[in-house]
Amino acid sequence: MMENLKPIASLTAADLLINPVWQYSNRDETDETLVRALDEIPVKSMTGKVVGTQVRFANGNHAWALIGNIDAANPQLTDHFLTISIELDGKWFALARYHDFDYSDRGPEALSRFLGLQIDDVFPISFDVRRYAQGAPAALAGNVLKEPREKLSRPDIIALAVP
Amino acid sequence: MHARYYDTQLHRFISADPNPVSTDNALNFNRYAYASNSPYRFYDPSGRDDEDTNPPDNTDDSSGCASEAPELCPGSGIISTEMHGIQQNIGTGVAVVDKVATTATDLAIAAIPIAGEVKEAEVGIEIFSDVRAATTATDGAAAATDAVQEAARLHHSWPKYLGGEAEQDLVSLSKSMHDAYHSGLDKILPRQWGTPYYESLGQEAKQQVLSDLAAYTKAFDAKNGTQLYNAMLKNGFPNP
Repeated sequence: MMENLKPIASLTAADLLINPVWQYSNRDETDETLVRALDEIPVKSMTGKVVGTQVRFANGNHAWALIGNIDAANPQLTDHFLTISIELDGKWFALARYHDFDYSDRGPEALSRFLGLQIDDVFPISFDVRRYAQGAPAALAGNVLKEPREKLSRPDIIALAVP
Repeated sequence: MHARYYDTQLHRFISADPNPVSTDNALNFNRYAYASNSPYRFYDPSGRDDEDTNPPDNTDDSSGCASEAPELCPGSGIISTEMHGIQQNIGTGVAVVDKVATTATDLAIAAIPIAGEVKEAEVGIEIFSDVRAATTATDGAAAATDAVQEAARLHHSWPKYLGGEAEQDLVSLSKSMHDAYHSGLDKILPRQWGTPYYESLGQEAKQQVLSDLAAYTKAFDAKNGTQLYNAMLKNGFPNP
């Protein structure tokens, strides 16, 4: 059976409108970043998946976003590792987390500039993927904050990431 | 012919060598290895015995090989050896199968020893736990085939999207272990940002990516009993 596989970097808002949930194929022989659309939602686990949905900025505006690293059972993991890319006019901006090495280049200030908004018009960014996944509501819906609630050291972050 | 079945992903025969053990060659104790684990030097058209691709007298040009391109001649090097092996396999009709075995008996017999071999390599402890459950030949065939197909994943130990070469010695991991590795790595170096992002980074940032990849992989190995960092080094990952 042919699968509809795409490099994740090629996903568009139109793709997400048709298929909100995408899963990494994890076939290294081809391309580690290939994803395939999942037909059956809500999914039982968000592990190895990304979800496309509209998010709401602090000023009430909406935008398409691609969200990954949601841990449906552990809001703490979601807090530290959630990845979010925001779409504007066909271009994506991948927001760096506080522990990413290029936070100063792709952090909240940079996203606000990309959107042409003040930072307080953008953050917090509200997301809600409860219709797409089963799990703890606190992990599936929340806010991406301008500043994280808690910061961990680099070794602690890596230790927390290892399954 | 058709003495044995070969799994192209595991790079191993999946049924035992029908010939008796030869005690004068330590490699012969492995009943599932292909061509004494030296496929560039040997090939095994029958599944029964290795044949040297570069025998002492390799000057015979009965293959019609052009002397202007000796590197493409059978027995003259890596490329030619691989070609020679393929030609021999086709010519003699060896049953080279891709994750498909045709008899239940072979599967039931083959699955458990393979499991032991891979487990010894400490790269996929969970790989064949499902296969072990396939105890009857009739029920076991389909279950074992499904389990093998589902279980094994070939892993680029230095992920390509983080700068690893496409051509690597791949590591066989259980699906669950492979998924776990990438799921954790996504938390540190997300695939979501895409290959073009990582390719566009400056030299300093790329060094940071490699440093994070090394730290994560070492921590994963320590927690899960794998040896993926060593595999990365063998695949050209720069040793800090």
